Amino acid sequence: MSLERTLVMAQHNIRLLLGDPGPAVIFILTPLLVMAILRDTAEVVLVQEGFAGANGAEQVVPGFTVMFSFFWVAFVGRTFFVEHGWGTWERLQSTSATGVEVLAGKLLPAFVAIAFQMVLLFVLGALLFDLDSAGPILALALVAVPLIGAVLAFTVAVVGVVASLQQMEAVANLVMMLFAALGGALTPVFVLPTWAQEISPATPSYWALKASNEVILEGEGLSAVWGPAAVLVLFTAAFLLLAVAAFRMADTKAVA
Amino acid sequence: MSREFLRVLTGPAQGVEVPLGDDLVLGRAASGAGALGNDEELSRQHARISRRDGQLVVEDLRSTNGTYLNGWRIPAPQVLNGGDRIQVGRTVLEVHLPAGVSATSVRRRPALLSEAYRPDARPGPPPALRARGVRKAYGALQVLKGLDLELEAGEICGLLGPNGAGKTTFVSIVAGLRAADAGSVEVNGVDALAQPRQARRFIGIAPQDLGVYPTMTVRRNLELFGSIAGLRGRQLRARVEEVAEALSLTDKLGAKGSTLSGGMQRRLHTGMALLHKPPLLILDEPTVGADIRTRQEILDLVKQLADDGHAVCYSTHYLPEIEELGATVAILEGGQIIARGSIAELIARYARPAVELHFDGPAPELSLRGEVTREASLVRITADDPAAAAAHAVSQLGAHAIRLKQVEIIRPSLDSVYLALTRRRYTGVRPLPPEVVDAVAAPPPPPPSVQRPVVGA
Repeated sequence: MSLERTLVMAQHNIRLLLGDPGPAVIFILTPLLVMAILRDTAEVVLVQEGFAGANGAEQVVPGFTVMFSFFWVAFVGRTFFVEHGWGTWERLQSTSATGVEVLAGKLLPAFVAIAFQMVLLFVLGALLFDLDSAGPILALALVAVPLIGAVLAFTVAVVGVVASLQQMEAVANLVMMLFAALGGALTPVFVLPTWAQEISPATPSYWALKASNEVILEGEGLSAVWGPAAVLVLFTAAFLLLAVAAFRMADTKAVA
Repeated sequence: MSREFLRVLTGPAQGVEVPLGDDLVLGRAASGAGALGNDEELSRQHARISRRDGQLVVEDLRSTNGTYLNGWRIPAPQVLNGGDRIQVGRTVLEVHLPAGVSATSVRRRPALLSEAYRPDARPGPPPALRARGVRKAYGALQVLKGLDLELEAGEICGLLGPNGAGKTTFVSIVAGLRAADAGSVEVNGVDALAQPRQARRFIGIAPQDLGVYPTMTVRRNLELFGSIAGLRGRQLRARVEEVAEALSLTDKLGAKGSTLSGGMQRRLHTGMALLHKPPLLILDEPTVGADIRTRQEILDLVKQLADDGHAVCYSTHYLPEIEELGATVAILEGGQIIARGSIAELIARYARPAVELHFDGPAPELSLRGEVTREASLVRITADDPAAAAAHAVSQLGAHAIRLKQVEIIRPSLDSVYLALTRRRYTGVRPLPPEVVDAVAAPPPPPPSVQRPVVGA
C-alpha cells in the first residue's frame, strides 16, 4: 500500500465532497434544529430522573450527534454508487492504485468530516444550548474514534451487501433510525420500554451514549469510557469482517 | 557515439540519459546521476551498477520492490548487455553500450556473479504483451479457450471480434481485473496474473464505457490519473498540457466534465489513459459515439503513440479504422485468435471477393456459379469476378427479382477476410443462434424452406 497514492485518492475525494457540500451542511444544521426543538423535553425527562441541574442539552447534544453520525452511511455509501454510474469506479481499478488505496482514499476524508461534524455539534451545543459537562468532555474522544470507525466499516459492509443505490439508502436509513431509537439518541434509554432496553446494547449508539452520559451527567472520566470504547471497537471489527466478506471492488452496482 | 549510458524509458525521469561510470547507485535518494526522481516504488538506494573485471554488473541493494532485468527479478548480481532493460520501481532503463560491446563480445563470468545466471536463458527485451493459452469460463460458458496474443513495442493491433467474443474478458485479465483459469499473461515482461499491480503500471486502459468525473474539470480529471501513476508537480502539469494538446482539449482544461460534448468526453476518457506513457495501451472502442473530428484525432493520436514506441491494442467495430491505422489484426472468434497478421498478409491468405444479394424475405434457391451461401434473406456468392457473378445471379432471379433489395460487392479487404474466416460480415454484433435467425426470417405460414448457410456450387 502506497501512502502517497492513498493521499492522492483522499485529496481527490475531498474535492468530490467539497463539490457537493449541501449534505454536509444539512448534517450540521438539522441536528442543531432538532436539538433546539427537543431540549426542553429532554430537560424534563432528565430532571425527573434525578439530574437536578440538567437543562436537556446533556441528552440532545450527544444524542443527535451520534444519530447524525450514522447519516453518513447513506451519504458515503452513495459516493460508491455515484462512481459506478460515472464509470470511474471501473476506471480506477485499471490503474496502479490498489483496492485498499481507493477505499482508504474514500474513507479517510469521511472520517475527518464525521469527526469535524461531532466536534462542531458539541461546540455549538455548548454555545447555543449551554451544554455543561460534569466530567472531562475530551474523554469522549476515546469513543468518538471507534464510533466513526464503526460507521465507516458499516458503510462498506452495506455497500458490499446491497446491489443498488435504492437498497443501500433504504438499509442505511432503516438502520440509522433503529440505532438512534434503540441506542438512546432520541430519548434516554431509561425511558424506553423494557424490551427495548434489553436490546439497546446491541447497537453501537447505546455504547457511545453510555460513555457520554457517564462523563457529562455523572462526572466520570476516562475510567468510565474505556469499556464503551472497547465495545465500539468490537462493533467496528464485526462490521469490518462483514465488509471483508461482502465487499468486492470488482462488483457492479446498479445506480438507477 | 561511443559512450555507455542508461536511457530512462518510463518513470518520473523518463527521457533522461544516465551516464555509466564505474559505480552508479540508482534510487530515490541516490546522489548524482542515479537519482531517478519521485518514483514512490523506488527504494532510497535501490540498485547498483558497477564494473567488475571490465563487465557492467547490476545488483539489487535489498530494495523493497526488487530489481528486474528483462522482466526477471534478479536474485544476485547480473552482467549487463546492450539493449537490456532494468526495472527499478516504476522506472525502466535501457542499457546502451558502445558499438562492439555486445552480448557476444562481453566476457561473462556467471559463476562469480550468480549461480542463477544462465546466459542462454536470458530473454531479449520483452514484448509489450505476451498472452499464452489464456482460458476463462463463467460457469459452463467457456469465453476464452486458449487465447494467444503477442504485441511488440510500436505495434498497433486491431482486436476484432463480435460482442461476446471475449474481448472485454481478455482485456480485464490483462489488466489484472479478472483472474484467468489457465494460461499466462506478461505485460512488459511482468507476470500480469501473479503481479497484476506491477503490470498495471505498464498499461493504460480506456474502457469502452466512458469513465470521467463530471463534477471535476478536465485538468483535475487528467491530474488525478497522472497522480495515481506517480507523476508529480511540474512533470505532472507538463504532461497534462501535452495530453490536452494532443487531444485538442487545451481550451477545455478548465471546463467541468459534465459540460463537455460527447466527443470531448471521449477524448478526455482516452487522454486519462495516456498520462503515464504506458508501454501498452488498450483502447476499447475508443471512437464509439465520437464525431468525425474526434475520431480522426484519436486515430492520429494512436498512430503517433505507436510511432513513439507504445504498443496499442485497439478494439473496434469499424474495420476502416484498422485499415487506416495500418494495424496488425487479431481476429477473436469462439474464444480464440483465429487469424493474426498484417492486413496485407491476411488479405493475401484469406480474402476472396464476393457479392451479396439481399432480398425482401427468404433468399431464393438459385442455381448459381461459384461458392454460394444462403442465409436468411441473403445470398452470398464468393467469386474471383464478383461483378460477373452478380450479373449472372441477377439473370437467374426470375420471379424473385422483385424481392431483390440490394446487391453489394465485397472487394478483398479486412471485411472479406473476416467473411472468409467466419462466413459472416463483421458487424461487431454476435450472430443470432440459427433458430432465432430462422424464426426472424421466416414469414407467416406456410413456412418456406429456409436453410442454414450452405456452401455449395
